[in-house]
Amino acid sequence: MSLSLLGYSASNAAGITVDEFWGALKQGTPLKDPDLHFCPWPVGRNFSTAQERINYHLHKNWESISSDLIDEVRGAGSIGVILATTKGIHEDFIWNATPNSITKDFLSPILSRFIAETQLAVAHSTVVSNACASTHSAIFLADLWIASGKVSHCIILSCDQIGKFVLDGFKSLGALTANYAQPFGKERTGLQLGDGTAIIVLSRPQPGKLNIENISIVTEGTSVTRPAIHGEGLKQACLDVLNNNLIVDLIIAHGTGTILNDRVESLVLGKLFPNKTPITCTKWAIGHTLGASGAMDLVAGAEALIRQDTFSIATTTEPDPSFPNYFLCGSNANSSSDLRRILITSLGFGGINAALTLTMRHQ
Amino acid sequence: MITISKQYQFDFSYPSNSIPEWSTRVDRWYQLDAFSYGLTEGYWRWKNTSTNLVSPDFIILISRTASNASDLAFVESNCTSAHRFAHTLPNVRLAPLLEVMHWKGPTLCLQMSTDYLERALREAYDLPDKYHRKWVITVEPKAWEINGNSVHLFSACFFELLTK
Repeated sequence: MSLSLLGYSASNAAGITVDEFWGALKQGTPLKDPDLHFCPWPVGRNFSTAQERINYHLHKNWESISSDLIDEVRGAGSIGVILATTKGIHEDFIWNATPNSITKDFLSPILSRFIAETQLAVAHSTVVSNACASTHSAIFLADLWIASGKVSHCIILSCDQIGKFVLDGFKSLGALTANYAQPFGKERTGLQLGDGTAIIVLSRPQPGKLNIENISIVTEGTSVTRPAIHGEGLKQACLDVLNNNLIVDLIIAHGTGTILNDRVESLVLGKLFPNKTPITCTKWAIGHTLGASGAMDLVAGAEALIRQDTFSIATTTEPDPSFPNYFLCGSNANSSSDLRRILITSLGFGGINAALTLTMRHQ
Repeated sequence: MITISKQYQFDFSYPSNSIPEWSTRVDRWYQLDAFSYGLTEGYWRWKNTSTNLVSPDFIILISRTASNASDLAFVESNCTSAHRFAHTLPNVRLAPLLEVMHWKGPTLCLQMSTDYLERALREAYDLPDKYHRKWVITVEPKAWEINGNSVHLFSACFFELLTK
């Protein structure tokens, strides 16, 4: 497989633009308001419904895509659109549920509305809900669509909004930290949550564009909320995308900051990369954006390649001493002049493991 | 050429009064939601009644109503039950099934409301030939009452598509 990453936008707790996101990663700005456990964006703006909130975010992101790219997409032979999300407009439903609403699909209307309002001539569309690996899974499906000729371009809408339901849920799991998340840190105690929306535009390989070289999803039967203890599925997903080439210049790990997630990732990545390939992650800066988290990591990886620069896990000053890996921690991320290939991993409830490799331009 | 080579439907009520035969294979099976239970029990019965049921290369789970029913169950626990929250993602209902099958591989949980079965079968049909054997699975509520004591009825359907 091979896909060109033609363009992207992202809004999250760090700000409305990709530049603000990159700025937070580089400057080491942690997620604001840790006492709230999550950061809704934009701060202080109220929406009458969760659907309105998501719609607002999607349109702001669409407006951030360059007009040249939008023109290219509009002129494409066939367009696919995939919504990648976990809970979507869930808050609208759950607090006012009725017997009739329980059998209603609340996610597809978000997709339909986006397509109608952007007036895109869409040939294929669907919603992928593969937990926190939803974006990786959507890219996987986009690749299948593009490779089969179903579509020439595919737009991925990645979004998840954090509300009371999700917040209460993660509290019930005991997964939230009382302070800043410290992925892979010695003192890590859990994760923070964050709103996130991103749009990713993909196509058949084009010269001069960033390249999603390979992508893999491996779902395995494990306990519902935790990955396999030895990380077999994650290892398989990584091996699939590495394709016998273990040279990677940077790893953007899922890195939630929970005890178990980080341990499993450390174990698998330590075995695959005994040469201590640098590992970083983004959730310390923007919170865990759930179904959108893979998109945030992809955007961060693309920016790293374009800027030839890396970023550290700023809230983690001391990695877990039992981990064998080399983490970019605190202020030890230095600019790199030779970033060519990045591995991006993602894990989700239900035993989903995903990985992709992002490389520099097609020749 | 691709054909629907096998299909199986399992209608069930939940909670169930009996301990499933596969209970020893799933950690805390008694905490499963209706959908997870139904898929696993349905598979078990399908396997026991079908000759030559071979594991697939790819699984598509269609989720027409997402996890609405399980979401509501979590809210009815005053949002304090961790195991109920764990089931508030539609893809999670595959986890115990895969555990019982001892299977790992690519899965997609797709959300479709209109013509959902036809569209999901089409997605499976269009998968590359390397995915020789594809399963399309759905499990949906048939009767449900909020805060009531009604019988909770569900239906799980399994389709095997084979590339020949």
